[in-house]
Amino acid sequence: MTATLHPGTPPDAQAAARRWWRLDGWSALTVGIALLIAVPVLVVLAHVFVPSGDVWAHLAATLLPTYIINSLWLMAGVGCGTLVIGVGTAWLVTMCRFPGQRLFEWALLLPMAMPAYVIAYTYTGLLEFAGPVQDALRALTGWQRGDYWFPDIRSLPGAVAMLTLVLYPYVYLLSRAAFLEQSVCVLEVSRTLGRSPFRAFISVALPLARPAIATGIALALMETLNDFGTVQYFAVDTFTTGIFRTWYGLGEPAAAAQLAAVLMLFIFVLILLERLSRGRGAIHHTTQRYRSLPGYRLKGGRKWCALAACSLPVALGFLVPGTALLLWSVETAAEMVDSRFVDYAINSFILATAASVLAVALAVVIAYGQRLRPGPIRAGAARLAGMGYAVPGAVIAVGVLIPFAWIDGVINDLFRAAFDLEPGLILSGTICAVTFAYVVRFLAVSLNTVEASFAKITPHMDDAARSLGKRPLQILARIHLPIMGSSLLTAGLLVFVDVMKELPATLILRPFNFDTLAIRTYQLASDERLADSSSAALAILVVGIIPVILLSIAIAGSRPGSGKKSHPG
Amino acid sequence: MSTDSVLTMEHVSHSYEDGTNVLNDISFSVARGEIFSLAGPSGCGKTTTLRLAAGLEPLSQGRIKIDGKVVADSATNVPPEKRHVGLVFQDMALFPHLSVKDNVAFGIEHLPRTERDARVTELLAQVSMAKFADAFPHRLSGGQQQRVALARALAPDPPIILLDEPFSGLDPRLRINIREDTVNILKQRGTTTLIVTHDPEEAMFLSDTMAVMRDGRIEQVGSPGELYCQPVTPYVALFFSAANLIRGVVDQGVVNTPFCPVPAPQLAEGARAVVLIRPEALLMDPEGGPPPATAMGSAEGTVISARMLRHSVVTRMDFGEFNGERLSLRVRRAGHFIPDEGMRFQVALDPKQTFVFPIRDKK
Repeated sequence: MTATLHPGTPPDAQAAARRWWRLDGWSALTVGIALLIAVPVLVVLAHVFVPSGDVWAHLAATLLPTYIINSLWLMAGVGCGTLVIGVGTAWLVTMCRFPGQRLFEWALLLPMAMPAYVIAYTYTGLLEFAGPVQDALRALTGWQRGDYWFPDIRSLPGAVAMLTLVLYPYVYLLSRAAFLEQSVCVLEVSRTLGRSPFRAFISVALPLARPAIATGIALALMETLNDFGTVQYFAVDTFTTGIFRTWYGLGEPAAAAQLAAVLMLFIFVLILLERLSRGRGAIHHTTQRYRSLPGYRLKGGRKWCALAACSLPVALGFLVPGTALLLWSVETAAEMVDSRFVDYAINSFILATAASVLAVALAVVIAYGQRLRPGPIRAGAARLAGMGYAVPGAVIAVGVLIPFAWIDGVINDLFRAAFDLEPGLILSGTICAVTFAYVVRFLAVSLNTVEASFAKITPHMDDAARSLGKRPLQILARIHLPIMGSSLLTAGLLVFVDVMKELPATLILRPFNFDTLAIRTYQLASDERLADSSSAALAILVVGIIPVILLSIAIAGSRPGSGKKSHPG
Repeated sequence: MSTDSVLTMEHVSHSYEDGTNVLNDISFSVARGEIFSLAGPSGCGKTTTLRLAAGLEPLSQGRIKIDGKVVADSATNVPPEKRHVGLVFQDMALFPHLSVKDNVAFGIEHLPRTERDARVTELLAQVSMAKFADAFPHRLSGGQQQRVALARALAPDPPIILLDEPFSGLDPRLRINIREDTVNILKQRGTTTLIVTHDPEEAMFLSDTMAVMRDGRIEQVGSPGELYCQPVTPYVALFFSAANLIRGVVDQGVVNTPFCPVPAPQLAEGARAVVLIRPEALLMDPEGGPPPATAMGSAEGTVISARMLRHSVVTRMDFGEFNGERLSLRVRRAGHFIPDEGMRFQVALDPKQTFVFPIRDKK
């Protein structure tokens, strides 16, 4: 049975909203969590007003323009790249029929599993002077060093290419979903009005999908701004590398926080643009009729073009680097996969598990609070708690470290005064800090999944259980959690994988000598030991495939009118 | 009001944050062992009333008593888990991860094991679901789920059970059987029941007492027979079925119709009034025999169209100009005779299905 509310049922929200001002225990808890999650961003923004004198003046005069220009070029490049690849492949796969089209539906998601820094390291290894590509070229032509020009992957265009290859799936995913939701009838009408399939796409399908496409690009651009590994390795100076250098190289936390604040400005603009495009583009489908998609059967040259257009992103974004990693790790495994490797894996596992358990638990508290009594305070708190996903890891790291170091300082001062001993760095020097940063960044991931899962349980279930004598917490334990079991696992898994891949916050916040697989990959690559880094990178990649599989299962049959759950409720 | 009333609502009003009133001074009481229904279209406030009784909605104004104890007023608000009322929803809301047995046992976990098991077995037998005790809800049909939901709500032996559109989600053909079974079970157990429904036939079939609601007010309370035969407002009369309306003015204690003058004893002389005639009150005899003894008068009409329905034929007939408007009325007649267009018949008026109401000027 699907959840059907009787039309006479007054929305609980309205009745509950009447008492929104009553701050009870649960609301206080929700608001507390949200504020805690917001601390890093608030700290960073507050530093706009902290004078840092010469350092900032120096930064603003010399490096800031470079950061801004590089970031803008990166965003422009990645934006265009993901738009063309993401929307193009989504259209081909949903609307046309050609060999392998079913396979590409999910295969096009595979590059999502590839962290940007891993693909950057891999392509550097493949394309450098001593790499297999140039070796083959020289063997083929007999050229020597200096005889030929070869593009340098470690450059701004190279970074654009790398980021585009792993980020286009965001745009693909959202525009595909939008195309699937569109009524084919609308497209058919436009064709009877004299539009060719391509013109119908341009004049009808694309505008209808615009809000979704905008959201996809906004996500891709947020990830671009978040990237640290690729730009750092390619020596393209952006905000994230700047924050890192200002903090460690110059030892200027305040200036680093100010850079982070400028970066947040970029993020806010992105969010604003995305909201605006969604608001104005809020198109309501005028028909509820869904029929099987037209499936233009492509023939001859077009067929091969479509095949090539879909294979290339998969091959370049996943198969080629994946194969290279596999071959390299086979080559170096004997040396690199030792007891230390196991330690790195265990460290990654500990951090990812701690963060995902916490993130899921907090998400349940926040989502259940909203269910018990919806209202502006709790809804606002939930939105605030979910904002971290937009904030780059480097910004969160700075925003976590500054207050944690301060608290540690206060604690040490107190202990020194009272007991003449120093407990050391309780918060900032332990996995507390890095775990907290993960929760800040990835709470949105678990919150979305948990909220969606709650929404599937009819509120009548709660009403029935209460009338049978159970209190809200008993209902959570006896009804909701058992029903949501697999969704909670999914939520945890998604956070787990994101933590495994995370680099900048881990780099800044991890305890001394506490290295993870991601850190190990980064360190070896920084030492130009690309082949040696491949085992750790491959491990991250393999774990990263899990959510891609979950995602492709979830979207299979999600089209209204065609899936298993076609029952309209 | 009866002293032995299980649920009493006294001057209950309810409004949402934005100021819209959903309930306006509702008072009624449900006597022990009675099946009471709140009927009305969606949005009339009937579900809100039920949710207030269950404690799922905080009360704004008035007082609610269950079994003589105040459960909600300006000072009190007993939470739903302490009110011990049974609830059954249209969507059943069975717990999908629990077996039928465990669903029924959910509200009586405080009982000792043997007693609990005995109770579950007894209830499942009563709703004819004994052999599904270990099944899970998704394996059951809508009707079976409904029986389990009823058993689950009855298990703690609540003083009153509240049913919110309990049969609306069911297949129409099943619905009739299931609602008959449900009434039998409730009557056998002597369970006091409050039912919310938008279906007039369902309300009539189920209730000892029914209340017709409109825009957050109760229009009339009484037995189904009283409400059907002596509606106090046109709204109540029209709730049961569509009817013919003839507008007129009270003249010497009657309102004129083409058939005969209809007495309007309670109305002031010269007041504007409407005569409401149910389609089955217009008696048409294709054989042309004498009108039945109960008939008040008759007029000749011309057939405009006729449509066969399940149990009757509905004919639209033209009765010419009356009071300056063209009078075309609906006539319902049992049987299978379908008159041709243009045929003329004598039509008599049955006074029992004819009502006169004053027309109030719109504010």
